[in-house]
Order: sequence, then C-alpha cells, then structure tokens
Amino acid sequence: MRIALLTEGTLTNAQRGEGGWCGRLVDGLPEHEFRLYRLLPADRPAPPTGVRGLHGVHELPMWGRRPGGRGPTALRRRAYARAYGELVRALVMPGERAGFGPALYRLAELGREDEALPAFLASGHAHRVLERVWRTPGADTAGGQPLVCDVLVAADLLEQCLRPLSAPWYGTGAAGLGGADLCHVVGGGPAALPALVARELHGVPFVVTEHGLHLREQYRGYRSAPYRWPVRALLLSFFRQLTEETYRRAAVLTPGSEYDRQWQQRCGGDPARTRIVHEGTTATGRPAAGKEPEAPTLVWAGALEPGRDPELALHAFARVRAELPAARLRVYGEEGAPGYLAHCRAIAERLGVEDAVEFAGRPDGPAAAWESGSVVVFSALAQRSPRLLADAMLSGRAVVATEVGVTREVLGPTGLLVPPRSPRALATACLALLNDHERRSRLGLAGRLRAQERFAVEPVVGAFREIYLDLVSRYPAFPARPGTQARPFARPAEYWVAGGTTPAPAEQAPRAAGPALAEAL
Amino acid sequence: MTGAPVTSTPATGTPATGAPADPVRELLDANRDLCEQAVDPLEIAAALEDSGLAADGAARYRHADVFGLAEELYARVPRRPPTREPLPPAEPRRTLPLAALRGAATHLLPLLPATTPGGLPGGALALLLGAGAGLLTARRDRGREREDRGTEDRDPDGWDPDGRDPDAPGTDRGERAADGRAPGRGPFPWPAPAQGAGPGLLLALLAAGDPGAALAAALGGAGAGWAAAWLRRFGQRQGSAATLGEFRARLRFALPLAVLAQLALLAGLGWAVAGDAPATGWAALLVLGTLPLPAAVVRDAGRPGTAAVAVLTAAAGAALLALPAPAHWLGASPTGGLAAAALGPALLLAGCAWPPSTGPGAYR
Repeated sequence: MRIALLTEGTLTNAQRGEGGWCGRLVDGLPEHEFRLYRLLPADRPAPPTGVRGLHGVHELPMWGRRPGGRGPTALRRRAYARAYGELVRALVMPGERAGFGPALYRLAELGREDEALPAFLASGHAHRVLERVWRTPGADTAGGQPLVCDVLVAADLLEQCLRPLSAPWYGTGAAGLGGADLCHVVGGGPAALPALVARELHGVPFVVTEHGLHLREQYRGYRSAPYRWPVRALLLSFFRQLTEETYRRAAVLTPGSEYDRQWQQRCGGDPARTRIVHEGTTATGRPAAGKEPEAPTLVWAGALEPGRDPELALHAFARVRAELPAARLRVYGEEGAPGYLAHCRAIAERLGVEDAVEFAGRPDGPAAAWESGSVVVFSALAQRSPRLLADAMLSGRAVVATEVGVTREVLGPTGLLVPPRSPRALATACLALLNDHERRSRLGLAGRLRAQERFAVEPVVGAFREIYLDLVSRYPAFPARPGTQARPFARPAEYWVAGGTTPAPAEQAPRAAGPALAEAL
Repeated sequence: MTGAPVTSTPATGTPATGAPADPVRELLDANRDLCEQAVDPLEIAAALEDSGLAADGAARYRHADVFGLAEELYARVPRRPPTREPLPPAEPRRTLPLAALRGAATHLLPLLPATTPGGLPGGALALLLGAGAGLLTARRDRGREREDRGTEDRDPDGWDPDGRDPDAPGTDRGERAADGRAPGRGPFPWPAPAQGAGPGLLLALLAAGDPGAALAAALGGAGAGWAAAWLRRFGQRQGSAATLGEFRARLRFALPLAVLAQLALLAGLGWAVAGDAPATGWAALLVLGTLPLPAAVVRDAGRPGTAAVAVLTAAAGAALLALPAPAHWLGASPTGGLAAAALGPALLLAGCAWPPSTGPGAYR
C-alpha cells in the first residue's frame, strides 16, 4: 500500500532517535511504501527526518518568508477574491461556517491552475477583501473592530497557513498525493490541508493521528501571542474551522488518549470513527530501576514553571518531612520560566526544608532520574501528554500524581491520585507510600506492567496495520465522483499489494477517466 | 489502593448544604479577564484545564465537563478587549539621525576618490565604494530583520520532561512573525550594491563638472536618509488607522511633502556651499540629491530591483553623455547632461514610489 505521511514538524522526531513516532511506524510496517510530506519553517535549514525506509521525502517551506511568484492575472483575480471572501466570511460570520470547506477547496483549485495563490494572498487586493468582509455588519467583532495593522497581520498569517494549498504535491503521479492509497496526517493543523485537498481531488481517504491536540495548543499559545483581539479571533476561528473540517472528512481519528478524544469529539469528531491508539515508546524494553536509595526519597521531574507546580511538591514535602525527618526530595528539570528556580529555592528555604531538597538540574536520562527516588511525584496543574507519566511507570517506581488531564487513564489503579493544589492530600499519599515498602513495590510493578502493555510499540503498529487495511477496503480504487457512494470490496485484496516494478493501475488511468471507471466497475 | 482520589475535600457533584446558589459566580469573578478576552468557549476550556480544573472540578460547578462550564462562562460574560493592546511596532525615534548619518556617509564616501585622484580611476573607485556602501547598508538591514524574527530552538536531545511533543506542531505557541515583505530573489542581493553604485558614479561625474554642487548633493544624502526613515516610521505608526482608506488618506501627501522638504534642504545646502553654481549645476544638484529618496521608498515597498535599475539607468545615461564624443556633439555642459540623464529616471522613480507609499504594505 502507498501511504503518504503528512506532518508539520520543525524537529520531526530526529531527536528521539530512530525517527520518532513516524520512524517507529515506518519500521514496523515494512510491507507498505511510505512517503513523508513535511511542512517546514522557511527560514531555517531542514533537519534530517531520521526516518529510515522512506520511499521519498517532500518538503514545503512554511512559516516565514513567502516564496517568489507572480500574482494572478486581472481576469482571474476576481475569482480569487470571491473565494477568499467566502473563506473570510466563514471565519468571521457566526452563521456562515458551512462555507469554509468549499471556499478552501475553491482556493486550492484556483491555486493549482496558475500557482498564483501565495502572491494573491499577500497582495493589496487580498487585504482589501479581508477588510471589507471583516468590517461587514454581522461579523463577530465583539472584542474590537479590526484596524489596518490587524488586517495586515491577519492576512500574513492566513497566507502562511494556507501555503500547503499551493504545494506541488497534488496529481496522480508517483510522488503525488493522488497516487497514494491513503494519507496519514500526524499532528493535525495545516498538515491536514494537503490531505483534505487530496481527498477532495482524488478521493484519497486519510487518517488523523494527534498526540496533544493542535487546536488546543493554538488556544493556549495565542493567549500570550502579541496579537490584538481581532487577529486572535480570526486566526483561532480559522484553526477551529480547519480542525472541524478535518475531523468531519477524516476516515479515522486516532487520538493518543481518552482526554484528547473528548476534545476531538467536542470539535466534531465522530465517535464511531475514533479509535484511541496510545503513543508507543521504545522505553518499554528498558529494565526496571534497581535498588531504592537508602533514605526515603521523592522524585519530581519536569520543567520548572508554574504550570508544572513544583511549589505544590515543595509544600507537600514540608509536611512529609515533619512526619518523616529522613525524607528527601530531588527535583529534576530546568527552568521553564525565567527566575522560577530561584523562586522555588526561596520557597524551600521559607519552609525550612532547603537542606533536604536537591535541585538536581538536568538528569543523564529519565531512567537515571526515576532510579534515584523511592516514589515519583507529579504535581502538575495540567497533564496533557502521557509520555512522562508512562516513562516513570516503566521504571517500576510507585507514582503519585495530581488528577488532571490524562493521569487517571494512564495510571489507572496502579498509582495514587490526588486533587491538584492540595499539599495535604499529596503529602498524605506520599507518606502512605513511603511508609509501606510492600505497597510501594506492588504498585510500582503493577504500573510497569500496565505501561508495558499500553505503551509498547507493537500495539501501535498492529493498530495501524488494521486501520490501513480496513480503510482501503472501504474505498474504491478510482476516485469516486463526489456524492456517489463508495463501494466496499470493489477490488480483490491482491489489488492492494504494492507491486515492486509494475505501476498500479490507478497511476496509469488518466484522471479524467476516474469517475467513469469507478462507475463502470 | 485504587485510582480513587486520595482527597479530603468534600464529595463533589452535589453542593453541600449552605453552598452558594450560584457556584459559577466565584469562578467567573476569578477569571473575569480571561472570559472577557476569550474568542471562543474552547479557549476558556483550555485555560481552565491549564489552571488545574478537571472533570470532577467541573462537577463542583454543576457541569458534566469542562466544556459545558466554559460555555456558561463564555455566555455570561460580555466580550471586552483588553484596555492596553499592543499597537503596531514602529521604529524608535533614534533611528532617524542614524539613518541621516548613514545616508550622508554612503554619499560622501564615493565623493572622496572622485575629488582627490579624479578622472577615470577616481570614478571607478567611487563606483566601487558606492557599491560597497550600498551592500553594507543592505547587510545591516538583513541583520536587523533576523534579530526581529528571533530564534526558538528546542532542546535537541532526549530529555523532554515537559512532555512536549516534537511531532506536535502547535507547541510553537502561535508566535509567527508576520513578515509580509516581498520574497528574497536568490542568495546574493544584487540590487543593494547596484543602488549604492549608481549615486556613486553620478556624484563622481558631478564632482568632475562642479565640485561644490557635488558636495552639496552628497550632504543632501543625509536629508534623503532622514526623510526615508521618517516616512517609514510615520507609515508604521499609521497602522492604527481604522480602515485602509483612512490609511491611504493619511499617507497621500507624505511622500510629496518629504520630496519638497528634501528639495528645500538641497536648495539651502546649495546656497551655502555652491552659491555661484550655474543653472545646470543647480539642476543637477537638485535631481541628484533627491533621487535617493524615491529610490529608498521603492526599495522599502518591496521592489529593490526597480529602484536599482532606475538608479543604474540614470548613472549609465549620465556616463554616456559625459563621454567626449556625445558631449561635443550635443554641445551641452557636463552638468547639464547629467541633470538631463538623471531627470527621467528620477521622475519615473517618483511616479513608481507614490502609489505604493500610500499603501500599508510598504511599511513593514
């Protein structure tokens, strides 16, 4: 099967060794042909993919300086302006959300015909269209009318977000998305744009895998972004519409956790087409941590910033120490917010525990960090990714965590959950474990087994093997005419076995013949 | 022990007797700013989750999940923009004298060899020095641009305690530098040295005919630099205009005014330095001294190639007219030929500069 992996990653996984998540997937499914399509920042050199066994890597510069190119001719400019106006209308008019998808596909179609889309979106004509629609009565400008500077900034950002529409990736050639049997979007966001267009153009189904939702990160990130209210509203509306359109069109959604699934469902993901696939990690093969340290030690790891709430751990530790004077706390991690380390030190001093708290900075590796303690403590206010929790569980140490985000589903019955912002509850849980060696080791072992079962790489690979096969069996071999029903099992299974030298019939068939053939079959 | 919360807080779900009738009110007061500035209920939901509120926390406020609670908060608080919102960034005022100094330096530099050795080697040296000065200015601009954009690189090795996902793109926190300038045209910025070389050659030619006028024109480069920087700053500060039409109305007479001011400055300089120059000398002084201003505006508007070609055309035309044969054949004075050759490109450039100078795209 020919699979197009679409991702927007500045450091796509190179640093995780073995090519990260995509690398593990490609390694695990050698029977399929993978091609990687990456969206990269334009102003930095592209890092290596780190993924072995790819049949091709295609890159598109995004986020930065616009690539050169001429604008549309005067005649076609009107069509561009109309489509762009429709798109903006769908973003700013609360009642016209339905026009988003059609406007997007229309822009993609226009851009494919004359490759003038980026230049048009950066031109004064686009600015005028944007301003006219944005200032129409009925547009959602409750937080302030857009000014000229807002129009410019929003137009720039929209132009950058829409760059994948004019990527040279469409078409039914070997390197085109139309030649793929399915697209796999890793990470969501603008990376889903090519998949949406390929689905519209060529009828290629796509799968969306998200570990940490793109949309949620945008909502979090834009709160501190240096943009005025109207720009934030427009851009977040764009990301929300894009996400909803993606979830609506995706054949299968594979969020990494139940917590992410709830968000996806909130944004229009169909529960029937959603399947949770936990993120696999190679750390499952790691041996369990060795002997516990002599002194009863709590370990805390994470970036030192208010969101991870190391203060809670310090306050809880002060209570633990009052009961258990030999106890120690080891804090791993570097400053995430400037001056926060000094703040934490000051708190430790104020609580009178500075001699028992060690700010150990960056450890040699996560395994070394967990090994240095008897109990691992997570005190964060929000836990969006299961990765660090799973890593701690794999060490075989008992875990105490605040009950936020993914912790309940990841820990399950193998750890202690406490409410956030409650030093007393956290201290009680830590003391209960520190005083009971048998319970500690029992929970630690149970946690390790649970994490090994849920976060191994093999189940991920197996899940996607099934999903891919299930998906292509439900889609016809040739692009169906929009609106016609896709016929399952229109082809025998052998059809999908990727041939080595003989090109698949889908490549030979001219595009125009597609619907006719699909009908004839 | 199971996953049940180890907690001593009262059971959630139903408010205890004596609990406030409107439990959301308290949360609303604590998060009023967030709710007023939110663009979407999901933004409130994300913020509530960041502050440690989970599903069972939402139950305390009689909601099944955080989303329902966020929608109630969004509906109950009217939108209000923050009182102090970031306005478009403009260049600081201290860049104006710097720009003036730079303008004067780039014009005085080629004048030195043109007057001291003089002749053909002096002209060639002036040309080279002008190109070098133009290139230096351009490199400084590019360096500033890179600083503006900043770099954000994440940790390249395996320790990622924050659980940030390198595959997940959204972690960049939405801070995309909005950079709508025209695209770069290849690795070497040829328009920059060309735009420096043109005035260098023109000044060398003028110095051969009328050294006083040449000095006045070179000193006028300071005014051109100042005026171009002022225009850029003024345009940037007008980003707070309500509509594009209003912006255009405010900027319509900015460039003509800047050109008039530059002409007045040149007249003053000419009167002080080269008061006894002939009429053709005056004409050459005014044309040459004003040419850098529209050239800078056109360059800033994203068409450095156009500016460079116009300046080079003027220089080439002037050099051609200064050759012995055409000069003899036309019977014109050297300064007259110079003024005639530079006038056309200068007028064309001014015509090219005016329309984009009234649009906001030229000031970024």
